[in-house]
Amino acid sequence: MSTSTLIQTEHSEVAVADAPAKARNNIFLEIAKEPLVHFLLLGALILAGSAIVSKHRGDAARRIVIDKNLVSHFITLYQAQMGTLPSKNQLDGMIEDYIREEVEFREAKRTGIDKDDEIVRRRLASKFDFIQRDLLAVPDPSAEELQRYYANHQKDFLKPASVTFTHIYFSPDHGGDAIARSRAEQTLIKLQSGLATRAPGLGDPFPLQADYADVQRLDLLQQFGDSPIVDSVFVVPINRWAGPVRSGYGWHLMYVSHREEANAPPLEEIRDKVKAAYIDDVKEKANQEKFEALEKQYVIDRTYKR
Amino acid sequence: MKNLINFLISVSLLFSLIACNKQSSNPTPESTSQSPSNRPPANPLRNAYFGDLHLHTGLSFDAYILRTNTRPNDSYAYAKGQPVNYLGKTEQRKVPLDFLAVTDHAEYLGALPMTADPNSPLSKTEWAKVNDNDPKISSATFARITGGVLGGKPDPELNNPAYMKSGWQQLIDAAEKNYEPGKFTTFIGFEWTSAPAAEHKFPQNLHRCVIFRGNKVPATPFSAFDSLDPEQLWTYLENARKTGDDVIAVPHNGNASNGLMFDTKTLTGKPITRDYAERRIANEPLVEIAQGKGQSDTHPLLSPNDEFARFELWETLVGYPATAHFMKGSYVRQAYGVGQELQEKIGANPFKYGIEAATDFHSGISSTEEDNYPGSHGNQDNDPKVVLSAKKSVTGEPPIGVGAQGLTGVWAEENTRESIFAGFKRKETFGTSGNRIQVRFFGGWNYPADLTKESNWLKAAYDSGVPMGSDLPSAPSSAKAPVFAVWALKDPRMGNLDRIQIIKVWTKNGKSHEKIFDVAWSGDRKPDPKTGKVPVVGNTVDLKTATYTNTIGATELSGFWQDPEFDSGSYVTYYARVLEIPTPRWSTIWAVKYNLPLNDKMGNTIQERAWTSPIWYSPTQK
Repeated sequence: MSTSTLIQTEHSEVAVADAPAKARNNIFLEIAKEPLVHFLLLGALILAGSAIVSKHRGDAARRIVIDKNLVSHFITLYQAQMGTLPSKNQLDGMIEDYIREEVEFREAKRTGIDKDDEIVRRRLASKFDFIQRDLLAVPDPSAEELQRYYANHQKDFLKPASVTFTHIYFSPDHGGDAIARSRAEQTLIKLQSGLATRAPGLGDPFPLQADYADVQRLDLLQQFGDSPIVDSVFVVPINRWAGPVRSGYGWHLMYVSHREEANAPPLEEIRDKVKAAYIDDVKEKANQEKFEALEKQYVIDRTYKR
Repeated sequence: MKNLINFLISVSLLFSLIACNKQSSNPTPESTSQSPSNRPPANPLRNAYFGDLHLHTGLSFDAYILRTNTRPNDSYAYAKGQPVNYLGKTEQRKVPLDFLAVTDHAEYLGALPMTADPNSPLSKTEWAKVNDNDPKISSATFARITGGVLGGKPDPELNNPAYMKSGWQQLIDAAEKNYEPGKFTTFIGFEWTSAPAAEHKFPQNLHRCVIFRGNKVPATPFSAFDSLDPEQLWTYLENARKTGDDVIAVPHNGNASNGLMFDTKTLTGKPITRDYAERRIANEPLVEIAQGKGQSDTHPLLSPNDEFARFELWETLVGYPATAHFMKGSYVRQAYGVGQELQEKIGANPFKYGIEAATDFHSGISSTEEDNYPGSHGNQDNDPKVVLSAKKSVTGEPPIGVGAQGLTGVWAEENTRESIFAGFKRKETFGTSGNRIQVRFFGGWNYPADLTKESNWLKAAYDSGVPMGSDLPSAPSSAKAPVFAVWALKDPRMGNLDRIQIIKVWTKNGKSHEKIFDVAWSGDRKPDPKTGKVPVVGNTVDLKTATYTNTIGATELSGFWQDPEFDSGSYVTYYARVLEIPTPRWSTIWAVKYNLPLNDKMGNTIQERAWTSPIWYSPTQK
């Protein structure tokens, strides 16, 4: 009871944000926008924080002290993460969480469950992994490095096949499906003896587009539904009229002028994406090498194999 | 040694606190990889984009317990048309979506998967029993967890901020990773799951999905444990806007709110004020009119003259097998009238909602295609035998009551977060029962009667009137009554269109009325001279094979309508509804596919549909 009274008095003093404190906070936020500064700052906070926390844990086994330093630390940590001061309730919550955890932590240690416990072992291992992971600041790759990386990983960056075509639409709304189809067939005969490579006006007005440039199969599914035209435009002969073919709207004649197989785009188009993949790759390799270096300091004795 | 452990634990604790920062400080490659020049050109007359703003994965406590194995990255993959493993089977959309927000429950977000992770202390708690193979044990644990959420009483072990941060970060990361400007848009979001208990402890649904415009989002979602009161959620949204990106909340399932969703009082029992009304509609421009658990447009008992009102009705509460009260405060159409009544009194309409629709599926996949629906609530509805015969389920109605719906349509210049979110804010949106029906709806005072027949009619429609989601412009002195242009295009892989209707809700002196007008229809049907109603379109469905033909209906419909009963002294809400011809419901398709008896609880055929955001008229704007 008296403890909680003490906590409330103490932190209400600390949490009052006066104007200068707000101004400092803004400058702090400006600096904190730099990711590197951000990270270093948080690293420093962690070291400072761990010192504060371990000092508190070093106190007598049955005494839990919440002093101004600790509360300030909670506030700083909150500010660093959220960019604002915690509300009274939020701060109370952090303090209550700390007390709860401290009680449970000490009880856990008293009963010795930190020794040889699977959870504790795994958490320590995974946190160790986290702490030493990705510490390598990967410099931006040189143009050659990036080019080489891209050459070796092109299959991860393929652009799907695409097609450019124009079409003429025959709607079943004017007399039914069979009539629309026969209108299309008659129009095809006319077109085959002419030179037109685009003629939407010979059919009905199409509510979407008459011409599609460089579109992929998934785009066409959205435009026409999963209907025959979606596959036809990828197989009919180039530079001549073909059809009629069905879509979800009716019948179409199509004139395909260009097709591209799935291909790797020029590096320039996707430089950022390739660079991000390169950096991930280098980091992952570094992580693995670091682990292997650590592992080498151990003798792994696989007695089960004997 | 003790000191080392001590040190490492404290460091690890702090690291877990800042882990999110470290990850989010890296720019996401995908979001910067496509320069605007690679995108399809923006269309100033706007394209229709279709997506889902309400979807749960195994990060949601309930979906996890229902054994849903998908995670947010799977949801985006499925929406993009890629194959995804759901409950051991490969599922793939026939036609991809254009956008998606994964909106897992904020309550216990990400906590339940930890019960199966041997690295997590949660795996050693009693909550891990949800993973038990004995359904008796797992469902008893489920009941306790759900009870805590519905009652707004968090369990301290599950409601751990560290788990929530990790779950929130997974939602953020997946949205960032899958965003492809110009091609596929993702939104960061979550669901606030407030369901205040009525006197008999049953939950009254006030849920809202929260959708952020960009990636500057608060450190944690807002949960029903923080507050059950939507006014507190709005405060969270207002604060989020001050420090980050714009954000909206979308209420859903008024039908299961027991009359609470569109109540004329606030949750704390005060009469609605002008300030409340303006705050509400500023924070919640859209409402979800249809989703898996039914539509909230109207009920046949509320709209006795609407012969199409009996559609995907969900009449119980959510997660509780009692019937919900619905005669007041539950359905959107009625709320349009009540909102206008409030506007007469207090000067603002709290229910001036635009329309969207979504799935709310708990499968992690937005499977709204009627002929490609694998169930949507994990192990509750994936066994055809059970689904076609079960009388109840944990969700309230039996599993057959869930509809393979819906989707949000939005008119936007291009497929980017900025353009689509601006469409939400403009309310230039519509909802569908799961299909990709495109619908345009414009209002003005001097459109020519043949507007939609002109080749460049869209430009004229925007230039001399307003699109769905807007207030009518001021009436010129010569104008007698507003005129409207409607246009609809069928979903190319689904049924033809039957008709387009305009639904009018008007209010004068505290009394509201509704009336439905047929405006465009297929074939040469003649309206009944007495009722003005166009006869039914017919039905080609063969129940033995669960097939239909598009020999009736139309591919495209358009029309022009001038309100013949306009009273310039009334407040009016006008919205359009598009109906497809009858097609087999998913449950009929299942019965044929698995050779099981038909179950017509929900009807064997349905008329899929789209609802537009309204166009409003107010006598004070003259």
